[in-house]
Amino acid sequence: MKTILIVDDNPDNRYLITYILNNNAFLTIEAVNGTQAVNKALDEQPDLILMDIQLPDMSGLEATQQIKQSTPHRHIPVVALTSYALDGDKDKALKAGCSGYIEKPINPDTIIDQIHQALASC
Amino acid sequence: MTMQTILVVDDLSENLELLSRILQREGYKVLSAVNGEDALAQLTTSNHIDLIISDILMPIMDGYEFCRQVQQNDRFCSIPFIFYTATYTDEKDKEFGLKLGANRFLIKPQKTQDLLNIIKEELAKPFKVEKNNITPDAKSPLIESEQQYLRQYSSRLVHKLEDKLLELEQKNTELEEEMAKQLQLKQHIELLNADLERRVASRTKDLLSANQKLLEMDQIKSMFLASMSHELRTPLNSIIGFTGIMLQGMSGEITDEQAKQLGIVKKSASHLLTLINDVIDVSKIESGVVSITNHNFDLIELIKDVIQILSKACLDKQLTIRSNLPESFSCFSDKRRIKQILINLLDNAIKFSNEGEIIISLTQRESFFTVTFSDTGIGISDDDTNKLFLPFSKLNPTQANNPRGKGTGLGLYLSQRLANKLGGQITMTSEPNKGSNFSLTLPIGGASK
Repeated sequence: MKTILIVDDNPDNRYLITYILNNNAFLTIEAVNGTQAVNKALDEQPDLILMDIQLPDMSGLEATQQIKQSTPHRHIPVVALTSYALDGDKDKALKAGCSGYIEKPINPDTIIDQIHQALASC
Repeated sequence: MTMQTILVVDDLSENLELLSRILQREGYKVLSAVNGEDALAQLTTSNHIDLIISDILMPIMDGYEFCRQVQQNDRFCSIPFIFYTATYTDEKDKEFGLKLGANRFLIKPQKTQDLLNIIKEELAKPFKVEKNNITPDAKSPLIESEQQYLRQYSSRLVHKLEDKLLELEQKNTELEEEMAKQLQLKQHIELLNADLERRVASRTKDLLSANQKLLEMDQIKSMFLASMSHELRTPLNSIIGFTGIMLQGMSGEITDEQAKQLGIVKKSASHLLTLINDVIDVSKIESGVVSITNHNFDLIELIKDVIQILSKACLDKQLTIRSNLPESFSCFSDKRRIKQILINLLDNAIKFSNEGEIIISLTQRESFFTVTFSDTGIGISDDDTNKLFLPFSKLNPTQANNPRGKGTGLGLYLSQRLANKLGGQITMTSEPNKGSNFSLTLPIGGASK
């Protein structure tokens, strides 16, 4: 079973994604901010990270960069959860090392396909 | 009658000319001289002179000395002599002039007629041997003593020099005052200049700080849009997400009625999401935050992609999409924005058609391409075409099968604004109950700035 690290400061969002993933045969761990995300990525070595971009302590992009700087963990695919908000958010995500992005609000009908795709592409 | 000759003596040529003209007009012959010496030469060389009019202050030989020499000359002393002067004249000058033997002492300016009358009068006087008791025989106190003349003469000159000196001193004072005034003016100008520079510097500083504020405002605006977008979307994440998993039955079986109601919640939430996205797009466009990023891409590929995205909606309404497109069409523009516009146009065509087909075609004219969506839908009345591109415009609700309300009311407005941003526009032709044609026309090589 693959383990996915869900990084989001909003508990409802974490619950929603966890619920969907657990019901689709994924193990999940959670982080509520950037620092926790970096630590859990290093300690638990998940197979994939779903990274919200807007976090309270640092941006999800910064957290991604820190994870990617660590040699043993740079292979872990990070999928950014981006807002539709501003032009260039997606470009920034890819530049920071994310291998893909899922636009929020997430669609429960398609998110599992998107995660399978992200796992397959690495 | 022979013409009478008058000798006019004046160092100023204008005076000479004026007087000569007046006299010539009266029928006199006029000789002129510019100083006493010149005048004596004229007297010596000319045959006959009937009258002398002389100025006093002249270079080389002045009028007084000229008069004295005339009176001492037996040949000339009987010629009537008139002083006609303006400079520094007082009673003493007149007295002195008459003492020297002049017949008249006239102050300039005289009325022309008065002057002419006096001249006529003097000329008419019988030949005069005795003039003012100053003939040599008369032994007048003046002529008697050369010394006395010189004394009086030099006293007159000293008097004149004093006057001149006074005048010069006054002029000097005036000049000094003028210089002081100039200096004051200069200082004033320097002060004004300094003040101006200070004001320019302060204005420049104000402008810089205003500019800085504008930049900050711009950043605040962008941040506001970003956080608005995030804040509005977060609750929708839960609504759409949880209704979605409940509808999937992930959290347990639901009844048909529950499924129907949850479906309505999900559909409303999706509509709200589109509305939020459109509103954010509009505010981004209106606040100038939208950036255009041009790339080279294949337009045909993009159109096919758009058809693919909306193929399910088409299928649901049993509409056929027919496209009349070339193999490929390369253009340089903002792919993401064009995609947004094309999705909106096709989505509209699907929404407003209940049956039939939608035809997508591509044409090129000069450096522009046009993508046209023709539908067989309800069409749009002339009244409504004008409102079409306005935000939240409500089209005629009495029209049958009007699916208004399904959209956000911002789609066409937004698309038109985006098309303008890309250097083009959206145009529309329509016939009610027959269908509409929406065309997006853009420059193939990107917007020219």
